[in-house]
Amino acid sequence: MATLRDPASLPRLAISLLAIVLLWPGLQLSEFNPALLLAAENRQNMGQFLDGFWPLAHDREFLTLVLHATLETLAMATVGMALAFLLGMPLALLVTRVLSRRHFSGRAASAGSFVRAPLRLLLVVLRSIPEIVWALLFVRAVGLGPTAGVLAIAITYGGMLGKVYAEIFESTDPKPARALLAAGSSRLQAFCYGVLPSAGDELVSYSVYRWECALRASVVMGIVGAGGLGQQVELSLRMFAGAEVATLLLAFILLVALADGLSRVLRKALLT
Amino acid sequence: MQLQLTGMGFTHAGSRAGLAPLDLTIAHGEHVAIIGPSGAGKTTLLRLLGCQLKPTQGQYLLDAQAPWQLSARGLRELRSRIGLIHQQPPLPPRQRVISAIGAGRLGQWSLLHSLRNWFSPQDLDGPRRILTQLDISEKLFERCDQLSGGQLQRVGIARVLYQQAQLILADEPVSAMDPHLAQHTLRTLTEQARKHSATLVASLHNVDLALSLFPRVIGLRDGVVAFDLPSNEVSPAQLKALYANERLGSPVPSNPTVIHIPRC
Repeated sequence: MATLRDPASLPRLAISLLAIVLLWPGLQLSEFNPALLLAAENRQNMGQFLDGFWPLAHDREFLTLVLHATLETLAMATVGMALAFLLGMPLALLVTRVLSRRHFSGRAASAGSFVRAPLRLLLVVLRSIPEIVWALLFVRAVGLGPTAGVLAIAITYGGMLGKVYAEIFESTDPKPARALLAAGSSRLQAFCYGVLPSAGDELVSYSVYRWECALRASVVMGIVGAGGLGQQVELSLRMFAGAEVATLLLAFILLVALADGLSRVLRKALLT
Repeated sequence: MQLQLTGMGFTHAGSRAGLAPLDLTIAHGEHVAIIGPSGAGKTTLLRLLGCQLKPTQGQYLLDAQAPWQLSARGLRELRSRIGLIHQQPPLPPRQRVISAIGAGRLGQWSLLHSLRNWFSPQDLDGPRRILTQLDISEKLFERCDQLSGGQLQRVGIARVLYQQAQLILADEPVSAMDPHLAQHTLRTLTEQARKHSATLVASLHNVDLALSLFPRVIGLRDGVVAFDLPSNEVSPAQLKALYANERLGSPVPSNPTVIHIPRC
């Protein structure tokens, strides 16, 4: 009797080898060298800096500063998302084909498709430029502070929301909306009664997830001067104040954990 | 509403058979049943009558008006007076019955009112009264995905009754109900249509129901009108001819027509 062999073992080996072959040039190109971390000089630098992490900075003045920065980050993400919603929702409604008249009656091609194409392009432009670039631009335009961050989030996330909302609308069953249109309702009414009931949960769930992302993004944008926790982290890093950095990072972790818990509770409440 | 078809026909863009040109007049408030084998073009005819499909030939007049020559606004206004009952009511699964029925009047409501009604249904009594007639009043606040196929069909009927449509088009409205319930529901539908002097055109698989509840019956086969008679003049031979060829013509049952009603 021939020895039994797992028929899957050969393909698996081949895929593993292929992955290594493909990844190796990437490692070379990015000049990734873990040994650098262990070089004596670097080790000493890191050690000194990390040593400063403990004890955490906890004087009253700094803590109020942290609290203020945390609230600023939270506000930046939330206001940015609200603006992004105001931008993305109408764009999604205009771009989506679910409510297109042409798709439901025998009428000839409407002006709709000519309007939709440039709007889709606009959505692509809005979201293809990373928020950090928008933030840099707006810091130049409106100066340091959270306003730049809010605007950057509003624009990038508006583009994302617009695209994803439109896709969610298109993934729902179009028949209810068409039946309503056929009974003389307007397109916005058909949307509310025919599309939203099916798409609502997914919309909220995705928006909450995006809000979480906006929270993280607002920290990154702070580093380029858009206010909030990120800006504080950057200032403290520049002053080699390890203890302050540690406190700020802790505040950030708590904030993200809070957002995570909140969004989980929200989604759970919605999906039951 | 009065319907007048002059040589009206419809050809699908693909190879599928459509509807041969036909002449037909349906008087204001008349009740007509359409019977015929599956694929005879009953749904196409109803969609044409409901101004959802544009006829490819001939003329269609509704109350002496040509629907497809109206402006977009005029067509919308006209459509708000037409109610189509679907065999599988297209209702969002997570929508509540009360909203699904309320949506029947969207054509008459302003955007503001429909938003308010969307947020919290403004009229509870109207939908409940209609559901009581259809014997499912206890489902008023249930979600559509919790209803059976037959219950869903009754919600679809309730929506059109709530709409107070002047032309009610019903496409196999009771196909998912047991015979007794089907009769009760169809009788309610005809009574309500008569009360509001609405014109009613219904396609039915159940020939007995068609003959007993409708004064006029149109037999449709392969997109052609086989007969158009008062129901007491339809002979068994005509019925046999209407359905017979279907069995003989296709010895291999290609697709057994299972009436599939998904839960929304």
